Parts: sequence; C-alpha cells; structure tokens
Amino acid sequence: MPALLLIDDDKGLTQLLSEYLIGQGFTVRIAENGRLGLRAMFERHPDLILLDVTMPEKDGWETLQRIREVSDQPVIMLTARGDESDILKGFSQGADDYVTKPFSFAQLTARIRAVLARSAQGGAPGEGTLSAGGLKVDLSLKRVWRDGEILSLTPTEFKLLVALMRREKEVVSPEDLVREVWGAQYANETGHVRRYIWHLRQKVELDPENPRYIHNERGYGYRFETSDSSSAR
Amino acid sequence: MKSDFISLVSHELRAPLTALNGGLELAMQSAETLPPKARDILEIMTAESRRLTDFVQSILDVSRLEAGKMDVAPGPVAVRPLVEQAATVVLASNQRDVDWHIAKNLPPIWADETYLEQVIRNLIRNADKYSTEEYPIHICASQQGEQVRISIKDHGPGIAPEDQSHIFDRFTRLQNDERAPSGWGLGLYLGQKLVAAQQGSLNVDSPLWDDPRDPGSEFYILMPIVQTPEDEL
Repeated sequence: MPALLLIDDDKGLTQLLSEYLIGQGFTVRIAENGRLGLRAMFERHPDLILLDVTMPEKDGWETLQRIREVSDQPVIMLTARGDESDILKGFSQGADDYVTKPFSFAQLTARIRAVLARSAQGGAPGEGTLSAGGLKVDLSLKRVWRDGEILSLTPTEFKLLVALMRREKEVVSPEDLVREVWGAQYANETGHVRRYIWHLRQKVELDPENPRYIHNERGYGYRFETSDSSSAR
Repeated sequence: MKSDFISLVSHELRAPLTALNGGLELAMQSAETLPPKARDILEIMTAESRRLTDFVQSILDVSRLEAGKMDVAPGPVAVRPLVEQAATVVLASNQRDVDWHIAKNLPPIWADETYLEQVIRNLIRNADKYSTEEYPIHICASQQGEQVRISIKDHGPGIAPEDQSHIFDRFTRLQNDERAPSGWGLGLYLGQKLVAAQQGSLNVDSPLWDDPRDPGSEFYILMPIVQTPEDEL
C-alpha cells in the first residue's frame, strides 16, 4: 500500500483528499505546513509527497528545496498558480509533477500512480520515458528535455517527436507520421509534413541545418537517429 | 483596480473549489446508495460547481491575458483535424448536423493549438446554443492570401449592427431574459483576446441569411499561415 505525505494548510481539502486517496488504496499522512512536513518525511519515509506551494512557515518552494537536499522521494506540487513560469520553476527545482488547483481527485490520483510507476523504475528510462542522445521525453508529463534543458513543444510537435523516437533508426514515411499524429482519416494529407518537421527541428536541434536527431531520407521519409545514443526506450 | 480585485478573488476561489469539487467527487462515489432525490441534488450541485469552476478559470485566463502573462506557445497547426476535434467534443452529446466546407490542402496555420481549439469550441458551443436544432451549423475553412479563414455560422437570432461593436466586450450578454442560454459573457471577449495574442483576428458578420426567420451570425477567425523558408525544406 503506497504511503503518501500530504503537506497542505487547507484543512478542508486535506481531509477530503486523504479520505479519497485512502479509498483508492493509499495510506495518507497529513502535515499542515512545510516544517511539520519535513519532520514527517524524516519519520515516515513516504513513497510520494504531495506538496502545496502557498503555505505559512516554509512555503512549498522552500520545503521542496530542503527535501531535495536530503532525498529524491517523488514530489508532486499542488498549487493555485498555473503560469508556465511557475511550472518550469517547479521542474527545475526537482518536482516530479505539478497539478494546478482546482484539480479533480481522480486526475490527481492518476498522476500519483504515474509518478510512482516512474519512481519504481528507479528514474531510469522505462515505459513512461524515451531517451536518446541527450534528449529525454516524459510521456505522461508530455515534457521534453535536451541535455537537461526543458523544451517548449506544441502538443502536435510532441506527438511527432514521440512517433519518430518510438521507431528509432527506422525510416518513417510521411503517411505513417500523419496516421500516428493526426489519425488515419488524414493519411492522404501529407503535403505539409515537411513544414512540421522543419519547425520541430528548430526547437529540438541545437543546429537545425546539421541535425543531430531528425534526418531526411529524401523520397522515403524521416529517421530519428543519434550517432552517440543508446536506443530510445 | 477592479480587474485586480476580481483576479484576486478568483485566485482565492481555486483552493476552496478544489475541496468542493473533490468532496462532490467523493460523494458521487456512493451516489448509488442514496435516495433518488438526494442523488439528483448531488448531480445538480456537481454541474453547478463545474460551471463555477469554468467561470473562475475564465476570469483567471482573462486577467492573465490582460496582464500579459498568458503564455502563448505557437507552432504549425493543421486546421482540419483541429476544427473537427473541436466539433466532436462540443457536439458529441447531441444530434446537431454540421455542414462542413473545409478546403483541401489547407496550409498549416501559425497558432497555439490548445488556445485556438478552446476558442473554436466556444464558437461552436455558441452556435449550438443560439440556434434551433432543425438547422445545421456551418463550419468552413479556406485560404485567403497569407491567412486561413475559419468560420462558424448559425441560423440563430443574429446580432443587430449596433450590438456588433460591443459583442466582444467583457460581460456582454445581448439576451438577458429568462429564455437566454446560460453564460457569463466572457467567451467572446476571451476568444478575441486569445486570437489576437496569436497574431490573428476574430470578427462577426450578421445577419447572414435572406430568410428573416433565421437571420444567423457568422464568427470568423483569420490566422496567419505558417512561414517556412522553402529552400530549407
């Protein structure tokens, strides 16, 4: 039974959320501020920490910083702030995921399970991750990092990259890419795939004119391959 | 000042809304065991809570946009899949006919696909709300020079010329009687701002049809097509 530590000063929310999570098969310990949360973390060693950002006595950021000094236990940040800059700050400080209020309990539960599954794989690339040549894709977070730096891809660009990485070293035809990214009903509309690839390269490649990841196979399609990588998994 | 106040209040509502929605989610898990009357009340509360959550989210989106804090992430977007997806989501639960006129081989547009789909969904939802089911909604897309024009036409009551100039203002609702469909008067305001943030425009044309019994409105979006250097493709 996975043990969760919920650090949040909102008593109404913590009471309801803990009841819901217990019903989903977790054990839940509640701490109402960062200081008590850190103490509970040392005492209980939870499998995952749910951490509110806005709290008295050590806010979520400061608490996260202290957690990361001593532990790599997975942390999901809960916050009322949904700006992209806040989300990026969370990831750069070592948060494993970020959920914006108001969230549904079912949605949060799904994210907890995804982060726990990743954590069980020791953070190594597994089913939820693709990795090759400094490029890392988290399939559940829908995030991409290149050499540790987060990249800002649109949902379509993300799907394109994943479609190519899943078939590393294979030539993927424009028809197959369209079928995978947009759906089979659009399989004949391949005329603009090269434009999507051009824009994807601008974001993913350090030098788009000399691509390291996405290569043209003129007349056939595109191939994802890095000269210095192990297989994408 | 007023806008800051609304934004602050909305922000503060996010945490209690999480608890409220979560509590209802928890209660709905055992709804089968409740008497029919109590179950009905719970379902109404859930629907109203969701409506309030959407409203708060809209206010926050508006305040983020007005403060220049809305992170628009543009990229190439295929028009047909985006528009068809939006229509599927909005019209999934009813029998409304759609008259499709999407030109073949439309070039991708330069847009934030998440926000653009949000705007198009809202326009389709409005067309559905403001016209009777016996008529179809007309969804069209075509290239006009360096832009793509996406339009949603209905057979509703239309919008008088004197009202068209402020239909995109905040909290504007032209129909305020008891028969008026529910809404907050924020959708078009937010839509126009969101489209403008993506270098596009959202406009209205009304009446549309010769028959005075179904004067109708057409909301149309103009978005720039993707600029890609041809020699680098």
